[in-house]
Amino acid sequence: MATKRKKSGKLTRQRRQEIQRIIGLNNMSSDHLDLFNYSKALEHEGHVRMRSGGESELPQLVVWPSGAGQISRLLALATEHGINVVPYGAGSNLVGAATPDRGGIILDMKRLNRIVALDETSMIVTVQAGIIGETLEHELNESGFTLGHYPSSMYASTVGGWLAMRAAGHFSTRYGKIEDLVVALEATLGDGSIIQLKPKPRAAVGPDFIQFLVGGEGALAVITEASLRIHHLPETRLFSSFSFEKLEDGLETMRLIMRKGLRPAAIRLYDEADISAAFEDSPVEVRGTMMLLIVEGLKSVATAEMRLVENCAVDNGGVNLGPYPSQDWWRHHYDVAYRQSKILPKPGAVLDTIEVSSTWTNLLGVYSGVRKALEGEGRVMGHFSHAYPEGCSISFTISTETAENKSIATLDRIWKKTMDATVAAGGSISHHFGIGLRRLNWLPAELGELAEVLKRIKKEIDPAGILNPGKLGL
Amino acid sequence: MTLFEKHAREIQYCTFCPKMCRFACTVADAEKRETVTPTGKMSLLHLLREGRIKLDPSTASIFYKCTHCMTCREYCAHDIVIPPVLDEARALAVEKGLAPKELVEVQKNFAATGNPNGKNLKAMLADLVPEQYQNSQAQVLYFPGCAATLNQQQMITDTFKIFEKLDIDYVGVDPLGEICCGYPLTASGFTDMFEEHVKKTGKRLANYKKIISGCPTCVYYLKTIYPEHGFNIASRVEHTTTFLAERLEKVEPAINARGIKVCYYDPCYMSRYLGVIEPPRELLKKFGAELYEMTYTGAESRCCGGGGMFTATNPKGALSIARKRWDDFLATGADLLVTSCPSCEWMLSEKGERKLVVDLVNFIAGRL
Repeated sequence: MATKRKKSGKLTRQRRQEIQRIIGLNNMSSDHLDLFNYSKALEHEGHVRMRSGGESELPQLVVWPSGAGQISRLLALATEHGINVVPYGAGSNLVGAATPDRGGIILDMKRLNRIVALDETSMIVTVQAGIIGETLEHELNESGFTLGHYPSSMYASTVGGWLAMRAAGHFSTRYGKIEDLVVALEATLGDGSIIQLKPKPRAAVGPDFIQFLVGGEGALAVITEASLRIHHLPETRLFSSFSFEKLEDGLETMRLIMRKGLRPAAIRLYDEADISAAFEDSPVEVRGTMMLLIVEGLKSVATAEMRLVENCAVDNGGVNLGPYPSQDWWRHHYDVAYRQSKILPKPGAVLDTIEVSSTWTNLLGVYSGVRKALEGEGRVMGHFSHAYPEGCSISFTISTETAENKSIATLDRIWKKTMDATVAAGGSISHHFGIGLRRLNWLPAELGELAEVLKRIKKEIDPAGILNPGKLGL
Repeated sequence: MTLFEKHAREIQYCTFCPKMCRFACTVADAEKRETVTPTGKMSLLHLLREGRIKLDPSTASIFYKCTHCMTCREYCAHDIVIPPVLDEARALAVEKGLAPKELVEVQKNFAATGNPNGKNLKAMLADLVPEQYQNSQAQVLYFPGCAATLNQQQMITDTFKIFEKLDIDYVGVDPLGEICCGYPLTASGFTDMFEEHVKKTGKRLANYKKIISGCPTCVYYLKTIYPEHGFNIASRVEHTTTFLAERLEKVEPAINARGIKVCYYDPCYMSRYLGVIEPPRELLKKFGAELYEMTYTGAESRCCGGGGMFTATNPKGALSIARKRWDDFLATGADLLVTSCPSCEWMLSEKGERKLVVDLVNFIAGRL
């Protein structure tokens, strides 16, 4: 689906001067170190380049705008001269969405990092898009609030990045995903027009343009500000864990919990392979699979909800392991990110997580199909999370070793097998990591005729096709 | 052992980390630049080691993009300590003639006067300390530090006022001793000069039963770095705060300070390097302060921008960081900002312009 590879227009001396007049000399850089650091985020190809070199497209310039006004003028200039622009948050993207593979200007959003307003009456916080998640959450906590949005990249991702990639956090079952949290946006379209969508709980005023932009991966607009729903910090947080001899029993438990209208903050079901990795240091012995449960909220409500959730587990053959595994996971839930430092430096190391989603009807088929497809591809771990009444997400983590000059080809093969098996079994190719460059080949099948509609809309709002070109196949 | 061999673990782990300390790095937060994140800085060393980039002025300048605050370590599951790695990288830059020109001035000053400022700090100290305390034979040495002697003289004066009021006559300054612990030298990359300075300074320090200082960086250096160079004085060194806390236990405040809303600012070297977090707060409460806390406190306290020679190499950047901390203070609603580090006080008061910033000893001296 990828469009013809059109490289960015040249940044002549005159163009640079025009950009300087918009952005200011101190807020732009063509230093070789900056160009290198902004040529990648956290995609595997970037790690391989760090390990063993190799060429990649570099941006021509990095700029740090201060607000929507500057961005608007910059995009208008970029449109006039066909210069690609790639929005960049904190660079935690895993699938290549922030990679400037066609050159151009990197738009580092982090100067837009203020909390603009905290409306405690309507429980809405308005923030600039470049604020890092942990900084926002910490400030909210000081006032007794939380977003309830805890992605693994919390310390190194921005609100704008979350919105662009349609992110999900660990407690999404209770608080929703980022698209459930956002109630207003300010964004700049490719031609420089600024749109402001005001906060409202809901309105029947035509299609929801906010939801159109969320997940746009920087190819539809540059999000500069967002208003997000907030919640009171929970009165209590309860933990529980169960083992199930059979995966199917654990999945049935998840399904029933959701069907009953119960909304634990988190339900995570680990297959046997993932338990041995995720809980290798745990003193609790587990046979079969493990389910972690976290419920939070008002004390009386959470206590009742946990009882009902646990009953679902017991009714399906679950053995109560007590709160420890769940508490331990929550205490160390960012630790999985730190582990890659030990694995990735080794030449030939391949390590990636591929998440997909499915309805309950197709879920086991997707899981077994992918597992079967990945036989012989190294260590494959799987867990189920982000549950809905309709289905849930599956995350496969694959770890293997090969010759260094084969590592990217190996990862490509693993991705192809996973994506093909997912599609064949009726699953969806991504739950929350997004498309980026990694999943482009499978996007046409996923979108069907919508792909053409998206292209027509893109042409209207970004006539020169300069915003993160190629992403989402646009 | 080269820097790359000695710090292979740090370089490797940080290069391949998904930037888990991204939100906490003082300089990365100030500059918004991925290149100056801990990951960016360590990646640079990785690329240098691999021979894929050259050590040129642009590369060398990145080594100096660190205030030594160590906030990154608070969020690192591998306990990576970045400042010593960058200090060695700075030494490499110096070796290759790539030290920032501002720091070459520091080196010249040190060669001439034994401190980074090029001033006669011994004479200044002599004017600040009452004569009876100018005694190299005292049991307890008060080590002033260059920052306090030059910029926070009231802190030194008030420290000795407190000693007088408590009849502590066994503390003294060494009129012939060095004023600076040498931190500016290692933080600039002048390791050879630091070696000579440690030998000279350490010899005189070895004579004392106890050494106290109002500068937490000096305390850390005398306690941790000097022993690495053969001067085993670690157990004898402490910050003035903890020294005074013990001696003020049974003392009642003369003036009731109740009603003063105080925000205590944790210096990086105090909270993270020395682990001293509660004693200053206990002293403040003892002397009647109502404590207000910043959003990030204790071991998570955010940097004032004053360390790592950042004020010399990146003065605008350092000022912008200090102003953020000032905004953090204003957000607390407190009336007074108290800290226990002369560099922090200098930064937060914007070189003494803001009168609402004082050292802990200033606060106590006015209430004894």
